[in-house]
Parts: sequence; structure tokens; C-alpha cells
Amino acid sequence: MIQVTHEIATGRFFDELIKPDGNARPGAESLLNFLKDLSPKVLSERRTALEAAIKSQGISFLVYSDSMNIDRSWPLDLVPRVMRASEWRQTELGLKQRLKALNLFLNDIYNEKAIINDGIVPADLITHSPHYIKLASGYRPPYDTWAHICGSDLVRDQAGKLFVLEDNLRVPSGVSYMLENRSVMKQVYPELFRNHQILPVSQYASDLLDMLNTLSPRPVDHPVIVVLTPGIYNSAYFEHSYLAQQIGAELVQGSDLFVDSDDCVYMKAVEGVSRVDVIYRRIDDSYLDPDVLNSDSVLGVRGLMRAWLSGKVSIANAPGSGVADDKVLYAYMPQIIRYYLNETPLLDNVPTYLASDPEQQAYVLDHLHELVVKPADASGGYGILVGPHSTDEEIIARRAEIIENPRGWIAQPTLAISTTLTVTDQGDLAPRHVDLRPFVLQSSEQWCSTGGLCRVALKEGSLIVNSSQGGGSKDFWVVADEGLA
Amino acid sequence: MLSRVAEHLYWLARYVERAEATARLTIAASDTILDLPDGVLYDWKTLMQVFGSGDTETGISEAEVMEQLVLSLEHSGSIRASIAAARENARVTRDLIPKDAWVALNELHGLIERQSFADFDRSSRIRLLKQVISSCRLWHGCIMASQARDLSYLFLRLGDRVEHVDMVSRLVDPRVTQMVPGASSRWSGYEAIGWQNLLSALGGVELYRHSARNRIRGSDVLDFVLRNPEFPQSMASALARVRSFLDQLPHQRVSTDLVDVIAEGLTQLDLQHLNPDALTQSMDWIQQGLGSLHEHISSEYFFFQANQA
Repeated sequence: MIQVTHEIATGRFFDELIKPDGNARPGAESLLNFLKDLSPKVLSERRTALEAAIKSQGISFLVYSDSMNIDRSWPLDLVPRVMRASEWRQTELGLKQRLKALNLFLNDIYNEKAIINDGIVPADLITHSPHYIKLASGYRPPYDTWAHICGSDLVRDQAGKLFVLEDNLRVPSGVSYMLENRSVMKQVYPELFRNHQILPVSQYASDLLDMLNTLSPRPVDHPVIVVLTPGIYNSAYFEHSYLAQQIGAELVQGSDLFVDSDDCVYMKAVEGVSRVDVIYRRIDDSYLDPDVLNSDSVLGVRGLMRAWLSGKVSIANAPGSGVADDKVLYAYMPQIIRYYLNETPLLDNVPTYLASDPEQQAYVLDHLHELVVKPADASGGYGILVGPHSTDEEIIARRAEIIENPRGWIAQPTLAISTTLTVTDQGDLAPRHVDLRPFVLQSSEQWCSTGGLCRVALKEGSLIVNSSQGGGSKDFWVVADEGLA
Repeated sequence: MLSRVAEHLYWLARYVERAEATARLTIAASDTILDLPDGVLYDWKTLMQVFGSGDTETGISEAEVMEQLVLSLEHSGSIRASIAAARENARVTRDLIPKDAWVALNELHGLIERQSFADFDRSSRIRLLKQVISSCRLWHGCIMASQARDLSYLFLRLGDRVEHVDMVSRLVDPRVTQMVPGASSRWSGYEAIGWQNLLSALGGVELYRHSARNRIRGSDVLDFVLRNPEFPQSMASALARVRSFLDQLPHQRVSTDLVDVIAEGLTQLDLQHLNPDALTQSMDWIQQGLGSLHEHISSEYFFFQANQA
């Protein structure tokens, strides 16, 4: 029942499972054999079982709409994406290299500012960034590490090469879905897991806990770690609760904490108060402390910045890390890696045009029909214009927005990103575009998830994979090379 | 444990217990109706009042009452509203409760949300109510088997037992049972059935038979459901549990005297010579005592004051 589509046969898109000749890619052989033998009836049974498992485990996310928030079941596709361990290991090295450079960069711009003084990155890129926190200047966090948790989005082009599309350093989300996708898939396809050597993903929670423990300002065996959530109405609340449970941390809201006159952070508990050592925060910088940041914030904790700056509590990721999350800064990543590490980037950037540069802006405005235009500092797939899929009106409107606020926009070529077979609404298998978000941790050392969250654009031809925009997800298998037939 | 989380756990357990008790009551009421002689009307209006819905119309029908008690979202005491509220509290405390317990609650929520008003006839109602009871029992099983025996357990159990005492006080109200021991009921000849339905609403028919070894008598049944220390669903047993949980809470900030007063009042009740008003008044008095106990638990453990450090 697997048909090799025109796009796969002509190599217009790289397919993760099938070669243009219709044969399986290395690593995907027995998965494809399994899918070939699957009758539509069995496929639909498996789909029902999978949806039931997701529902009963309550794996959900919230979608914001104008009138209300809707709690949706997490969309997981039946067909996994597969990568060989040898390719994964190279990718992992590239991701770690990138996060190492990003942290050197953050520590530099909040302290010596060498990269600016050496003219590699323009000063106004930092000082004009909405994520730059002046108050943090001169601060040295443990291990000089600012971004402890990074989720980088990877895509593969037509030729089969992986690119980093963006680095998420503020509050990267999705790792709980990576873990739950695996747990559901094991229930639905026990036989596949017997026949493949699929590397486990469950180590992530222990790595996260180890990392957070290293950040404790007090030298104790069991530092008090909390996960700070905006609350139940946040789209990622499921994840906050899940991660807190996995690492045995207290899941807190801003109102559960206070900063005392000794600059320490305390939790309000039925036993009395207890001091907090490490805050894994899942709220944006601007909401952290109404005293010095956004004064309207009801999500944060008064005095939290004071506690952090005096070294009485660690915050992951550190306030101000978002500077490196900016899509304009992204364009400088290859230079940043070379500057700090004196190494060639192992993972390439997607070519990026800055609307703030007059020459590049002219090119962007001339080629809007071919390019993808993104806001410099938004996430969740909001505000993206895909030139080839847009109307003249949309393009004219975007052109005006770019001219009005050049710093606010970047453009990239429309990538022919790779596909993976996916179950369609009609119940058959067809290729859909996919990306991958691995999660990398850093403090005293670095850790990387095995694989990551694979997201898929469920609409035919669509390139937008965000769950808030109707995207789905897949289990991502890193398959041992030795296990290949 | 965070004060906010303790409060969510406490309410989570209260709502689950409220849903289960309401399901038991509803089945018992349904059974009673089937046993009633022709021409005797069940007083739905007062039943709804006892269960917290004050503005019920006089001519309300059985079907409307059932819809209100089970499926209504407007009536805050309905099973559906209780399960939805339990689930909201569980969502916030998911990291502290056993996964199986969460799944049980979540599946029950899905089941009720899928039940349509249109084909909510007597048989689908009984099916749904039995499912509510068995899901709630499953929930309790998961809590008993897997919940960490720490503060989370204490607040869950405390909420559960406080709610149970409250529900028993409503169940035995003569306005619900329409039964008072000794007094001549307008269902003359049907007393045994009425009392048996009260026992079955608490899941205690067999235990009662075992302990009373006698034909069903109103005063014995009331003594059993209110004061029997061996019947785990009796009010006295539940109060004893409440007392023990309060004792185990940090710094014992809520005095067990509040519980002892209620328990003492229970023992003073003269069940042989009760008139309906006296029983109703006693139960109202118990509900007030519980209300004040709840206020103390809230102010001492849920609303954090800096000086408690």
C-alpha cells in the first residue's frame, strides 16, 4: 500500500524513509516491510489504539483562539521517522558545538563584550534586542553558562543535508512530547520495538535533573529544585507538570514563591517555608519579576532578579539568554562559532537575509515570492509568510511591514524540506514535511537527547509544523547501525 | 508541600467523593421510586434543596431532577460538574498523584462528557451511574495502593472524609429519605424498603445485615450509618479518620476539638425518639460544624501567612 509519489521519485523532496527508487533508506528497511504488510483495516485499528492511549494518558496541549482555550489531544502520527545512529552522532556533535558557542557568546556580551569590540557582531544588535537585560551585565552564572536548555530546530534539504533553522533558548518546549510519543508508540507497536534496535530516549529526565543539580548555589546533596509555570492555562502546562514529576521537583507558580530580606527565594508550604535553590522557569523573562521587568506581571515573583543577581538562586535558562534566540542574531551563528571555538560549524545555518541590512533588504523585497519571511523574535510559527504559498495582497502587506521595521524581519530561501510517510485524514500513507527539535543541556558538561521531537505538517504541501498551527508529531527513532540487515 | 497544591488535593478528593456519593444517592432514589406505591409522589424539590440547589421549581419531574443531579453543568453539585472540578484540580496536581488514578479520572470525565442529554433514559442513566461509582472506586484503589504516604496522601484523605461526613449528613436527612424511625411515614408498609435504600446508597446493606442480625429497623439503620465504628462509611468512622489526619498534619494547627464536638453530638442523638425536624436540625448542625472545620483547615494550611514560617 506504499506508493512512491512523484515528488519522491523525482527527488524533488528528500524522503526520510524511501529512496527515489522506492527502496527503503538504510535503517528503515524493516519499518517499511512492516508498513507494506499492514492492511488498511489493521492500520486503522492501530490508529484507534494510539488515539485512545493518548486520550487516556491525557497527553494534551492548549490552543489559544479568540474566544477560548481548547485542550486538544496531542497529535501523534503512526509512522515514525528514522535516522541511523552514525548520522545522529555527527548531528549531536554539531548541536553541542553550537550550544557551547552560544553560551560563550552570552557570557561575553554580558561581560567583556569582546565579540562586539572585535567587530564580529554589531553592538546595536544586542542593545536593541528586546531580550537583552541590562541589569544582568557583569553577572557570572555557575559554569559561565546562561542557556542551560536549548531546543534547536533541524530541517533536511533536497540534497539530504541537515540545517539548523533556529535555536530556541528562552523556554524551549516539546521534550515531554518526545518522551510521551515514545511511550505511546511502544504500547501500539510492541513488535516493531522487538525487531529494531531503537535507542531509548528516557535518559533525558535524569540528565535534566543532573544538570539542574549542578546549578545549586548551596553545596547540598539534594538541592531544592522547582519548575516555575505560568499555570494551567499555558499551552505547555502539560509539559511543565510532566517534567516536574519526572525530575521530582515541585511545580510552582509565581504566587507560591517569595523573596525574603535575605535575598533568598522561599516556597510557601504547609510545613512552613523552604528555601529554593534552582528555578527551572517556564515563563518568559519579562514576566519573571514585576519589580524590575514587566510591572504588570502576575506570573512572576517580586525580587526574583535581586535574588538571582546576588547568587542566592539559579535560574535556568538565565534571564537575558533570549538575546541569542533572536533570528537576526542567528544569521551570525557561523561567525560566532568560529570566533569562540576556532572551529568550523558542524551544522550549517540556512542562508538568512537581514532586512536591517540595506543591500540584503533590497534582495528580500525583490524576491518575496520565493522567500520565507519570519518575525525576528516570535515563536510558535506565528507571523510567518511563505512566499510561494502567499497571495499578492499578503506579500504587499508584508513588504510594507518590512520597510517600516527592518530590524523586525529576516528572510530565508523556501527550503524543500524533507518528507516522511504519514497517515492522512483519508487513512492512507502519504509524504508530509517534517522537522526535528533535539534538546541539548549544558552546565558543568553537556548532554543531548537521543533524537528529539519530530514535528510534521499534516496538510499536504504545508511547511508549517507547529502544533499551534495544525501540525502533528512523530516518534523519532535513532536506529543502531549494527542492527541493520 | 505547597499550600496551593495542598488545597487542590483536598478539593480534588472532595469532588471525587461528592460525585460518587451523588451517584449512589441517585441510584438509591431511582430504586425507591420503582418501589413506591401508585399515587405516592416522591418529593424531588426538597431532595434538590438538600443537595444545594435552592431554586428548584415545585413541579420538577424525575427526568429533570436526574438531568440536574447527573449531567447539568449549571447545577454545581451535579456529578458532571463535580468530576469536571475534580479533573481541574487533578490537572494542577498531576505530578503528585499516581498515573493510574489520573487515567481513571480522565476516562470518567470523557465518559460523562460524551453522554448526551437526548438519550438519557433510565437504563442509560443507571449504566452511567454504576460506571461513575466503579471509576471512583478505581480512583480510591489507585490512591490506596500507590499514593505516597506523605502530605499529599493526608490532604487527599482529609478532603475525602470531610466530604463523606457532609454527604452522609445529607443522605440521612428525612427530606431525602422521607423516612424517620418510629414516626408513621406516609409510605406505611414500605419503611423497610426506604431504609434499605439508604443503606445501599452507602454500600452498607450486607454489613448492616451482618451486624444487626435483625429485620431492618429505622433506628438501627440510623445508628449503623451514623455511629457504627466498624462500618467504614459511617459518619463516626469518617470523623475518626478526619481526626487522625488532622493529628498528622504539620504542627497540628487545626485543633481536633472541632471534630470531637461533632462526634460527641452524634453520640448524644436519641435515635429512638426522633421527630423529622429534630433529625434535620441535627444534620444541619453537623454541616455547620464541618463548615467551621473547613474554614480552619483553609486558613491554617491553604492561605499562607508569612508569620507561619
